[in-house]
Amino acid sequence: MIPTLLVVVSLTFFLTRMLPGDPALAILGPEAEADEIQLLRQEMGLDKSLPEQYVCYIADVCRGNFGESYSYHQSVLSLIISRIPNTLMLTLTALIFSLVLGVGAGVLAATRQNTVIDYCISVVALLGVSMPVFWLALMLILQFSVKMNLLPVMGMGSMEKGIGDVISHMLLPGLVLAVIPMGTFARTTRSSMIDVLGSDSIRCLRARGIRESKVIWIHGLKNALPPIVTVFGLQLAGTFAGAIVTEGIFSWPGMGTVINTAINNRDYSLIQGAVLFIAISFVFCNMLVDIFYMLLNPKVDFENGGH
Amino acid sequence: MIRRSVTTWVLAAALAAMTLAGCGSSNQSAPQQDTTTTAAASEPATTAALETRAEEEPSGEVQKGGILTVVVPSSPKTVDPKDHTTDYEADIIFQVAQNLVTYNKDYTDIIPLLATEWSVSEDGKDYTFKLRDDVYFQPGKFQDGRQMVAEDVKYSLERIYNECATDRICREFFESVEVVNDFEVIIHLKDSCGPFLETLCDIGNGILPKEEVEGWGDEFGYHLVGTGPFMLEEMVADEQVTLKKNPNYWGDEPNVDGVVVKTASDNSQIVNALVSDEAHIGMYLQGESIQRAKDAGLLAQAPATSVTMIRFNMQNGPTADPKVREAIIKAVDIDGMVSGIYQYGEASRIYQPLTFLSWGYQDKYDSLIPEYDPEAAKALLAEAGYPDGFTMTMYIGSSTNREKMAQLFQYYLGEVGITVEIKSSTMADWMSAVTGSYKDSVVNSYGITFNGTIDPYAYEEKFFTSNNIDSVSNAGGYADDQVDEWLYAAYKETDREKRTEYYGQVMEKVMNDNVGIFYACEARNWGIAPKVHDSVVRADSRLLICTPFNNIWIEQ
Amino acid sequence: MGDKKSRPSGDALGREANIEMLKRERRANNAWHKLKRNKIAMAGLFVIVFMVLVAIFAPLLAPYPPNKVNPGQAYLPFGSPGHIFGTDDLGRDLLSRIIYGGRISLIVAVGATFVGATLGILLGLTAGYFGGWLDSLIMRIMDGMFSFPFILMAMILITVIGNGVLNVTFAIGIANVPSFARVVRGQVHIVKREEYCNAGKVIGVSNTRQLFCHILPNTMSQIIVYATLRVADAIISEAFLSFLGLGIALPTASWGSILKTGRECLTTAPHVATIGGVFILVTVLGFNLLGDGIRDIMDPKMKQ
Repeated sequence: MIPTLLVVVSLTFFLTRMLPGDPALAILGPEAEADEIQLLRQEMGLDKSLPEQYVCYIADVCRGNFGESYSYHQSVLSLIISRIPNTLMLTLTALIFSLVLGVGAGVLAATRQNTVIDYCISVVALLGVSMPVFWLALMLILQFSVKMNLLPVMGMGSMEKGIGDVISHMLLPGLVLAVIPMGTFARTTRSSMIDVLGSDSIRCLRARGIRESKVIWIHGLKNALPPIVTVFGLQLAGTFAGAIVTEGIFSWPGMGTVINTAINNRDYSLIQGAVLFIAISFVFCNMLVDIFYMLLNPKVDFENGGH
Repeated sequence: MIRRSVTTWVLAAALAAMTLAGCGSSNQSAPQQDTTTTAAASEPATTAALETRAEEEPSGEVQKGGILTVVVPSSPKTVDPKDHTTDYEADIIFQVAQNLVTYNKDYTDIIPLLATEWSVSEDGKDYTFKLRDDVYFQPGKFQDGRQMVAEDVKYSLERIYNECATDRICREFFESVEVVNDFEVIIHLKDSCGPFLETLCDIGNGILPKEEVEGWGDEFGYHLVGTGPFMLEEMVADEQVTLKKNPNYWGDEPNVDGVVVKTASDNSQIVNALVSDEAHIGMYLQGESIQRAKDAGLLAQAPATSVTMIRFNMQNGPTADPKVREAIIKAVDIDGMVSGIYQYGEASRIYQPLTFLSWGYQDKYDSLIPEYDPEAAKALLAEAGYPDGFTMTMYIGSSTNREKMAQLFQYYLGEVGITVEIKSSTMADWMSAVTGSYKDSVVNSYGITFNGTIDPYAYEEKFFTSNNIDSVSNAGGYADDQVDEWLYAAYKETDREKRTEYYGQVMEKVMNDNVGIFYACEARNWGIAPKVHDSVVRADSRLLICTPFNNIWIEQ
Repeated sequence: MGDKKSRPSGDALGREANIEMLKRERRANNAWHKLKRNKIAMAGLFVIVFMVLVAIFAPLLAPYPPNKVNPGQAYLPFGSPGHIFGTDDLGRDLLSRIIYGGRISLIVAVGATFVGATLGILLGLTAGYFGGWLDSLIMRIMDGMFSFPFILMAMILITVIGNGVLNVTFAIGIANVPSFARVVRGQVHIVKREEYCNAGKVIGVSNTRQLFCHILPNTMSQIIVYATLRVADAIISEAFLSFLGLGIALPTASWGSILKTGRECLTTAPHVATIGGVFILVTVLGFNLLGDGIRDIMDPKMKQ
């Protein structure tokens, strides 16, 4: 984990330094004059050599100091911490929603293999994974907000106005974010369930006269779980990345908005902090999945089971 | 009964005409006067009229109370006057902190705010301000709403002079602030400086209490305290800013109890919020939301004090040749381009690198721009040694209006055999690509909108002085000793008429040099709900809620 | 994937080389026949072939030059005479732009997948075959890159190298490398243990020969399946980058840049965004269908 993070830190550092555009200029705007820009560059430490900046940065990160965001005038760490709940609220809701629906649909399709229901679910699931989500977002905004004026699209809603306000604000971005995971879960569950339901152990259970629903939902699903868990781990990170896309379109005040602002304003320390945070959470998610996977299937051999 | 007014294009044009006629001498005007605007008095001077919102007749007296909800497309990030960079931030600061002087309702002149009167010494080096003696700061964590005195003016202005990254106070000329007594200060300049008084209207020069600034330190940007009609209650970046009425405000009590500023990056959402009564004012509308607002009868527009332009590289590449520049201008049907870019009537055609709202604007120079004539353009190109055309670049920061411009520009130049490569990037990249680009021929032309005030200094000085060739404003690298001389003379001059003369000379020279295509004045486009009364859309798009000349109220 | 039990790609192998070759040939034939029987995969293939043909013959098919502006005819609706798909904000014919845009979108997507696959295969093969510190080094770097969200990686890369067709291809390609490297490495580990590999080692076949003549061909089926699915993703990535204004340089049409234009006129001219999106969706669907189909054929047990 540590080497991976070191790679991430270095990669972000050098990538952000390679970004064209002068952060000082980005802050001051086109009306600024040359000497003002020079002054700010000094203040931001941009006049130092690259290795010098790198060493300073690594040292700072080790001390837990992620620097100041120049576009938000706030410490990067506190900014990120204040945004995580918003993003988590959106992504986790979308993910849980899609997990329940996706797995349900997948099981349904698997138990009714080669029926109309199966085909419908498969097609819808495939549509889901093929969807350019930002386009879907546009179409939803067009239908539900612009034409019908049913749902708000800006911001997050507030609890003060009641839970309805929060839900109505979350509906569209949540739906957009849920589409791909939903399709993926349905597809994974379906194929995994088909394998499991065809296995001897399930046949055995059925022969023993155990209720069909119990066979499917308890024994079947349990055995079909490992691939679903793998996919869940990937989607957890994927949804976080999807938030970068979705939050921008729906002006949701989360990490995605922060990253977009940071990139556009060449806010070096904020880009580095945010990317580092996302990478850490990705690594962490993977670790959780591995652990969970191990619990489900103790025989798993990590050396060769690259998922 | 008080009739509310909305600034209209017509009015602005009339005012522009008036200022041209030589007004602009009065230094002070009486605050607190609700004027009845008879907008139809004069015909529009230029192109199509901008839209005026049909405001409902107020069904009675001014009603107090209510929270005014304003939606802007981008979130304010800090509201420390020293650090702010965007208009969204300036709009918040304007409600909380106040300057000695400010612009009037029509953005044509300067009126007193925290100062009651001022005088300028003969040599133009000393500005004496008498301050109001009834102004108290908003209570905050580090002071209890104490009185504002001259010492605060000194502190605030010197803070901007010493600490601000951008020059907001004519830094080269500013010397010091002298406190005469509690209610009188003298600002000393090193030399006379024409635009100085205007500079004091900059949002950065608001008067702040030292205790709060130093008490909060870096966090002052989230805990601004000033003397304004509204107090900053809470500010959450990317979400909303909450302001509440200042009970101890020295001026007229604000009619609304508070203001909430929300962010919606999606423009159509702003219009939705207005239609569905979620918001009262939507600022900075763009593109098709302007049409939607217009259809819903919510649109209020005002011409902006800005210049949208294409500049050429004056020192390198094919555009260094004046004939080529003339040919390029002749090749572009500028009227066609403007109507192609601004399909919702959100801008009007201009001709000079100066807003027509400026007191220095003289329309006699409009005709100096070469006429649209593709054949003549081809002939000129052949004469310049490019009978088969050439390839040039156009750098833009990616925004819809700029992208449309670049593609139309490309189309028109294609017709005379010039191939245009469009380089589009984010503003940040664009700025660093363009800065200093006159030094080689990578950047042959670029497009941008430049915001200024009503002082020609904010345009001509920025665009054409050779001091600025390493800044974005004169990245084309225009350098001319004569022009520099005129500009410097105009800068030091305090008499408007003389300055107008200097700036006129500069204008004539640069127009004849065909330094660029100055094609549009993009309008300020707001959507305002019908139940909002006494709103003003001004050329600088400042959010005016409770000022000496208006006080918004909401019909309940 | 995740299937622990290692299996070669097909029935039992491990005899002499000529038998192996014969079998592979037969399997190829079988695969095509199987594919033909798989109606869904064929539908995908049909979509792809159609789009590719349209892209190739764009100059013949497009009724107008794609960048011909006509400010007077902006926002003509769907089904206007002379402009079946209508026109966009500058009066350009949308059908022509879709046709030429498909060209760019496909070139970028296939090119990016190719770049990603080539580099990913090289790195994955090296890491998987040699193992040891080289494996650790390569895979740590890959892990580091992989923990960037794909789209963020592409966004930053494109901001670094600037926009344009080649640069977008390169940026998406680079962002694709780590996932290819992982897939290939996983496969190499499986194939490496097969008897024929051990046999090769015993008789002293050179590393290069072993890698490219024995291991690579046997990981190819996996790579092809994966690549087909990655093309689908690359189409979406290109569209998203262009949608953000980071992608293809103006005024070149791509499906993403059409969407970007469409976003600005969502209410007044909804057809622009709708048509652009439908083409992206259908093409991506095509690649996903084909990918699924190939996977089912190559290895029925390999389904995700």
